[in-house]
Amino acid sequence: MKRTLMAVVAAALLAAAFAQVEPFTYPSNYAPTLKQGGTVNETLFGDITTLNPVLTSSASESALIGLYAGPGTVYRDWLGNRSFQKPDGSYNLYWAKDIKVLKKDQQFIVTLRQGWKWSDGVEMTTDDVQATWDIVGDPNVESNNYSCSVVGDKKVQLKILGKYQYEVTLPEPQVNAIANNDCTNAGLIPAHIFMPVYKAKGAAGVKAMWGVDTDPSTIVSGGPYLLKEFRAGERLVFVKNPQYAKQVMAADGTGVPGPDTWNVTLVKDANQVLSRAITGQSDFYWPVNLDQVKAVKDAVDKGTIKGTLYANIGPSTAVDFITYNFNQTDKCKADMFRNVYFRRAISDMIDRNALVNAALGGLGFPAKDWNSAASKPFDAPNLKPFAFDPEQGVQLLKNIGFTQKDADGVLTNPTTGCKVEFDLQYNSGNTRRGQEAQVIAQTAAPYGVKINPREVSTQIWANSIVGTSDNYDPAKGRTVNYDAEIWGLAGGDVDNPSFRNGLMPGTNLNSWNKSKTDLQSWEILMGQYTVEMNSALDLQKRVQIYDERAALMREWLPITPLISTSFSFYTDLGNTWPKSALDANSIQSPYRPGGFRETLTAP
Amino acid sequence: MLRYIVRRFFNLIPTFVIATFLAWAIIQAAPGDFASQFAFDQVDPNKAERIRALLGLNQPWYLRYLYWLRNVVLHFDFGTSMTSKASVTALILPLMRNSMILLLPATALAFAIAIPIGVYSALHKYSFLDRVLTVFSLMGLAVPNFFLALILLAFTVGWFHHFHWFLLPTGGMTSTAFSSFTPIHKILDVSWHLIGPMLVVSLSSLAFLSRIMRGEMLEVLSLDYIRTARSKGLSDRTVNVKHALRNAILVIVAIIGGTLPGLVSGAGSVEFVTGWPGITPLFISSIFAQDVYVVMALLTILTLLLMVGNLISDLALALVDPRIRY
Amino acid sequence: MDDVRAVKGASLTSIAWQQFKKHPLARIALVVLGIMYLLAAFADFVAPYPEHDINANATFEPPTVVHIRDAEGRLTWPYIYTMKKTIDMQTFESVWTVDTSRAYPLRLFVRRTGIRDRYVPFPVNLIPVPMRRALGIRPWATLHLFGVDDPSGQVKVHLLGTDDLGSDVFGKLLFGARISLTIGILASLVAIVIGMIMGGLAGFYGGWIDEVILRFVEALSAIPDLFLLLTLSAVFYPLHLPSTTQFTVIIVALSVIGWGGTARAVRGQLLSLRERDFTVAAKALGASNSRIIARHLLPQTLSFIIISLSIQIPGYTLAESVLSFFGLGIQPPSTSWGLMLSTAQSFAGVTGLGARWWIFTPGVAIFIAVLTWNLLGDGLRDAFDPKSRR
Repeated sequence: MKRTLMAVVAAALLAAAFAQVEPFTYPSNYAPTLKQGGTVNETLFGDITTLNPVLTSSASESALIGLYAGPGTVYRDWLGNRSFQKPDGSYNLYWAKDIKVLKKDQQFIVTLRQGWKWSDGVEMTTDDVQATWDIVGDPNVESNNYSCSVVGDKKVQLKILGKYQYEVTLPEPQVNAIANNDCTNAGLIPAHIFMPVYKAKGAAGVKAMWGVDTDPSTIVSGGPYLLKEFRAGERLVFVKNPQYAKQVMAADGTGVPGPDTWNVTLVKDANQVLSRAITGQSDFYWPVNLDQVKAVKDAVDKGTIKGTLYANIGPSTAVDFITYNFNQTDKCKADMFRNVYFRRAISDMIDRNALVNAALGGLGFPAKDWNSAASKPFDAPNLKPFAFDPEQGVQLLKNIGFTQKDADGVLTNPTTGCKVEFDLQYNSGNTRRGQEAQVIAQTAAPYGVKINPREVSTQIWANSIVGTSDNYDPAKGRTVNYDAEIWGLAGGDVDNPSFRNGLMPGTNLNSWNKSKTDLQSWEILMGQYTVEMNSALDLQKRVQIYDERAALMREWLPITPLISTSFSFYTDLGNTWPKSALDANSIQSPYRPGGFRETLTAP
Repeated sequence: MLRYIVRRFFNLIPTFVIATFLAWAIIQAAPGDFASQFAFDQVDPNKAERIRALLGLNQPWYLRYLYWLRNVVLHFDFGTSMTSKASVTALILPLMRNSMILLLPATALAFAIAIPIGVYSALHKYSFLDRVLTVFSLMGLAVPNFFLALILLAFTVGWFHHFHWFLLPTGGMTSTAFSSFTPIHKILDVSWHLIGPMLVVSLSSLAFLSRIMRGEMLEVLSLDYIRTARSKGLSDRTVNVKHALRNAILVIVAIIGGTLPGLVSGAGSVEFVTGWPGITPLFISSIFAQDVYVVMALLTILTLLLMVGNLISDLALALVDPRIRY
Repeated sequence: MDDVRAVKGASLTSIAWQQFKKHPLARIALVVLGIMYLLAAFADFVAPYPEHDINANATFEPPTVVHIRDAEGRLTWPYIYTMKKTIDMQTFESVWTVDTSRAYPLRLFVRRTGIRDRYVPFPVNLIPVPMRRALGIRPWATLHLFGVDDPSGQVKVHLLGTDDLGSDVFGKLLFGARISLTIGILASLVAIVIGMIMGGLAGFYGGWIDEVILRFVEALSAIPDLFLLLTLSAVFYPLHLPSTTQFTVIIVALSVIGWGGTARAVRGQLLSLRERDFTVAAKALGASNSRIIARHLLPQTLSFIIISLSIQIPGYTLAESVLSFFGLGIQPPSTSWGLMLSTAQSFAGVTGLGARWWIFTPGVAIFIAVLTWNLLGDGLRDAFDPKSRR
């Protein structure tokens, strides 16, 4: 018995000694020209409530914990075509050495690079893949990444084919299945740490792991950094993971450089973020509005802080827009919202430049499409900007019967008695949208259009939008019987610009019409374009369909685009990226492909 | 005396149960629950219902209160946070400690300033300095805390821009290199960070405390035995110091336990603006997420603190005040 | 009996007034508060522009300079110049250029007849809208205290500049005063009424009623104020309420946290008064319980009520601003000082405090209101509390 054990140990040692590390090498455009060694200081608006990568909930939390979570199989090339795929359709492989697609977007075999190790020296294998799938895919664990393991009600199947190979099978094809439905990419966790607990205590045991009271030295890292210190509500300190440099190389074959220490200070007030930035306590900062840009510019000009401000380099990825509820149970309103001339009239009465001036202090961009102009090539270059022409709007409203004004000066249809009056709701705490709503209301008021801005809780705001047609009953109306709403989407995903979940009739994020039967012909056509775009492999073809659909949407205005914020970036870390590549979509941590984006771009 | 302590202690129990039940009922009165936020989930539309069932949110609210109370009383277990799934106790204890690091010195400072002001004002009622001190202490009260903290922050940033060194830190409780400091350096570092928020918090409770001091002193001074002492021909100074001041100390003992929660409240917005890592930010985010157990744990612990504070005050009073007999 | 009544009549009014007059700060406070409430009442008239008047192209406009000397330096009727904003895209500075080509004189008692400029004057605006409609009262007023002599209506005078929406800060301060100055009074009145009823019941009947109420009060006061207030406000928050209801909700929330103290004090007063001679006498004469409470006991607590009102009101005014800071207070488009201040703070408060001081004036308004209410409270306490009389 003893001898066998020794033999096993010896074999394992031998295997370890001879295990060849198969490193990942950055493409040359990811040349990390960043400062070597030293310290990076970052200030983050938000809080950390868990150190467990399985349980992270907010984007900032996932991004920070992503610094020590295990690697994904593919990465998104933010400096290239911003996709997980190369233009030729092959994947940007990270931990995966090879991905063999058996059925497009449905079944694929992943072969992993060998010799990658956790910070405690244990090798990463399909054991870790299996553990991640088991734990994340257990609904009782309540992981926020659970959705990677299911399509609708059906489970995604994982089959381990060997120590470095596994197969994933989806019940039906999904867009970008390799990035979204392989739970390996949800943040790999070390099997040798998690599985014993999971087997012994189940989901509850996993949930109790790596809480905020954990000793950071017991946390095992599979990423570029190790957690060295955690002070609740205050600070995280990361140090370089020496293991990482052995498996992830720069283009010239050296280990990826970076600071030795990474301090993340947590704050809960925007003024704190700003004051830390302008007193040189943050190495990077994303000023959002004119005030913040100006404050940073001042500090840079006076020499108080030594970095570079890339101010107003283009629109951000998000667009704010208005949608109307076609399913309003109030007949007057439903008829009005369904009438394209009404929607055009309101759009004519919106002074988008005034919105930029008021809500963004003059630093921003009038939008012309629901998708941001930063989302090139999906930026609909053929669309003209919206014109501000309230008189035209009045004329349009007159043409559809709103010919008289009542005692309060609101346009009225004398035959039906309907009035041009509706609530415009926005989510609480969003001062920008609040200001947009107020400016829109005040601008339209003199022309006889009464818009009531309404701040609603994020919950109501969200419930107004979501829901599929399966749950919709025309007699009862929608979950929230709202009139109109300002919301927005962060676009920029070239892998899925079709927005299938929102632009198809009756889909979950289709906020204007939940009915699958009560459709107008343009809605059906829009759905057809979307399906077509989703299955078009060729980028050129996708762009073409996108532009056609954008023109159709401009004509029928299911979505009334308003404005995009401006994108600015301050850093004193040296030349992080080539300036030509700097835009709202490309600001990335150079330390890791894809994974740290949220921290760096979330306002 | 022992019987009194025991009786007081058992009196706390119904108060505690009613208070937590009230809090629970108020939280449950809000429409929706923690799971509602996942109605927005794009990929997994059933998530809200699944989470609701998992957390037992589909059970009646009073039943859940009983479960909660049982766990708190029997195991001192406040449950797990719905947001982070972590143990609530682990989540809030370090933050509670941070809040106390701010509050205790702020309370001490407030008393240290308020007592002399109160005593002086009472002894020299309607004098010029009395009025000046009253207005001064009222001025601290009259500025909303969050605004006062912002003024301080603007001053700090302005100072740095002018002199290129920090008179005060812009925020937080420790410097980034804190973990590498020596113990003495650590204490100095926290103290340095403490100055700003402590000033703001204590300034705002100064008026309240000094006015209570003044009022109670006046009360004592009008008592018969002080009059008797005066009529016996004792000097003003003797009367004031020996009798009045000693009684004033009784007053402080009586109110000190009850002031802490008021200061916790006062520190709420200050923690945000000065970046002090206390409990309020967690409380606010939990209340918006309807993370019941975190909200309840914070309310319960603060309530317990207040009750215990009052108890200690009363007991101390019973010990030092010869007039109180039990 | 006659004696008692005579003494009481003299003590409560004239003695208190005599005492109050000895308190110069309280007298000043009373005058300042009076002016503030008057301004709030006639806000529509004093403010040059309507409450919801915004101008997206003139956000954060600095206060208009009112010139009283002409080019030659002679004294003249006040006039202003227009200003235009451009953003310097190099420094990101908002540059305001003054156009001196034309002077616009200010005018007193300006009439503006636009449909959005008319308003319902005080005190008619206190009547609820449905009642006004039912009674057929619709008096529109168009007169404003001052304005610019400009028929186009494009030139505006902003004594305290404009805010993030280009609204007149001076006007908004007056409109905001309506909420900020009344929220405290209403909330403390509600709190005191609840407190008196509960305290009265507890103190007079004693027994299990007393026990239940006392426990309830104790439990309520055991929860720290701010956290209870935030929890209470958060309950109503997702309910999609119109702003008038929000106003009520805040008052209810504030009074819920405030009635306990009053109840306890009233109960204490009653307990001691109950044993006094005149109560015993009244009972002996066959007076009913409610009569005794109404005629004898409650008036005795009047001085206490006045004192606690003046202590609670400034506290509630501050609480309103704190609620706004946490996003749980008055919601736009309604205006309150707390909302204005916390909005100002959210726009780069650190650097804006110096550069755009005028949007922080609600802070000054809160300061003055709270300070004066407290000073008035001091005066009232000295006046009504026999122990602190000199």
